[in-house]
Amino acid sequence: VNEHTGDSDAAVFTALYEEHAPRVLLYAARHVDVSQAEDVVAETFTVAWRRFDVVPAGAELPWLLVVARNTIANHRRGTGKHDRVGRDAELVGRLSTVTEDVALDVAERDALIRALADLSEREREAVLIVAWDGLAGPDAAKVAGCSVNAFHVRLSRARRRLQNSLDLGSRPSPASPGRSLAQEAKP
Amino acid sequence: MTDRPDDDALDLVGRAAPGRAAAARLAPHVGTAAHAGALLTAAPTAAGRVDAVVPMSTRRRRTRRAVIGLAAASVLGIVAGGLSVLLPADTPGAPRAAVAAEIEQLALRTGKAPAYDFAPGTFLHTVEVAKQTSTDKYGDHSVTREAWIADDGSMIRVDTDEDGPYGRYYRATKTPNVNAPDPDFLDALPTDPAAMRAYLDARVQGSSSHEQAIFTAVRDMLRPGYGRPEVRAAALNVLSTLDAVSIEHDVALPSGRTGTGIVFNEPDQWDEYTTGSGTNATVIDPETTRILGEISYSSGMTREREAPADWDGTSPLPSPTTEFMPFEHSYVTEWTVSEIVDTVPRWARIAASADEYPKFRS
Repeated sequence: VNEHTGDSDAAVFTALYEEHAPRVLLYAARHVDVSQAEDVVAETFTVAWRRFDVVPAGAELPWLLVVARNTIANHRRGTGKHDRVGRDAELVGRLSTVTEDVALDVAERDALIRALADLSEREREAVLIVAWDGLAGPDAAKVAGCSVNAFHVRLSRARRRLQNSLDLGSRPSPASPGRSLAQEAKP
Repeated sequence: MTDRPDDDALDLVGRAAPGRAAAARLAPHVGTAAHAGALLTAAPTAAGRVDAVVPMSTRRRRTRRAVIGLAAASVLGIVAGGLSVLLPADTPGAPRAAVAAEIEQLALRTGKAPAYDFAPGTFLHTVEVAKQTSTDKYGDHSVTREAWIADDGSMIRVDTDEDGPYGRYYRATKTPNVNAPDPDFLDALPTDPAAMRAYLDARVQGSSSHEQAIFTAVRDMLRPGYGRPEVRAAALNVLSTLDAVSIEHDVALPSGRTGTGIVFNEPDQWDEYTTGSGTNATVIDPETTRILGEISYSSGMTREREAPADWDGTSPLPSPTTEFMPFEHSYVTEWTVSEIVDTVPRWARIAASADEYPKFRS
């Protein structure tokens, strides 16, 4: 195999895709429907293929997620803000039902979804970029589309609110939109 | 403050994180090699992307394709360098017998030098710093190449130039040869110099002369640093039989290290566009016999003809449109790191899922 041929590049791209496409899909699926999320994945990796030279070594995932975020923004263009209110929280609720962690029982999951739903969209995104996407510091800020300092502020505020919500989680809150969304999300 | 989930709330969120299995349930085909293939099939061919992943030398050739004068110049082997003083094209060199004796001495030391402890699971890690200088309009260029080579010869490399990393290269040596040998291939070659010469005589091709093809093959065989010392010694001994080879002492490399240059003096060449000559040198540490660097230099006169903007590369070009102008090209590359390691960086392990690179799986 010639090291300069497209075949080798294709193999590398395939490996990159196999490693990161599921994570990009899950990121997209908490912002758009699954069918759209698949399109986001395809568009994101098409960009990666065309701009293979600028995908940073060792920091592929944050780069891919930033591209995915921009792709999602394009998908959303033309969609009214009214339609998006509460939408991400619902999608997060659906996603959390497919978690593999069997130690997280239904009650814990419900409480969690309720707490996440009570956060603002930006706060929730900050929490999930850290806890689900595994990013931190500048990488996390890039994916969130803000400065590192702004990200710290969002995350700090989100943590406090999240912890407060979970502490109160034992109290019944039937009117909580998070709870209703969680119940909807159950298979 | 840390962003890591070290408190109960974030920890609980983290435990709810959907993983690969969740992704597979959402969209089973996403993340599969087959789907990657489908994306590649559907993706438009992007010239910019291709430019970004081929080596700079190739990128430059692509740029030059329409400039026939320089293409002809490249036939000279373009290269050598800051060595214009040390390696002028008309260096007469020492008498043949003395050159042959010195190369044989180097070969003797090579045969006694310890081989790399290139065990399975380890990698040969190299860093190569290369600089090209040119008096033509293409100017100067520097690149650093960092590579990890597995014991099966597969290699992963990242190239960095003034603008940062610009390309990664992956090579799986399924068909090793004298110009791209893997360790097993080298180890199977003759250890007798005459047998090695006969082996090379029967196989080398592609250079301006048979002797140059032999020199190039030996250079390519020695360059990686692995292989049995006896085989490396036999290959080096072959150079003592080449009339166009000379020796230069204390050849300085950019880092300040010096070594013995085994120089191939290319014969003068000329055609409608170029007249000139060149030299190619492999610089060897005379004590350890490790390869320290390579130097090429060429100079002469050249003229060009610019291709029309819509030239597709297949139709004839008009006659030369410029007068002959002097040119001088040099290329110096030095291996600043050459060591056996047992790990590769995380990004390099991305290739782990590709069947062609089993050695790079973590």
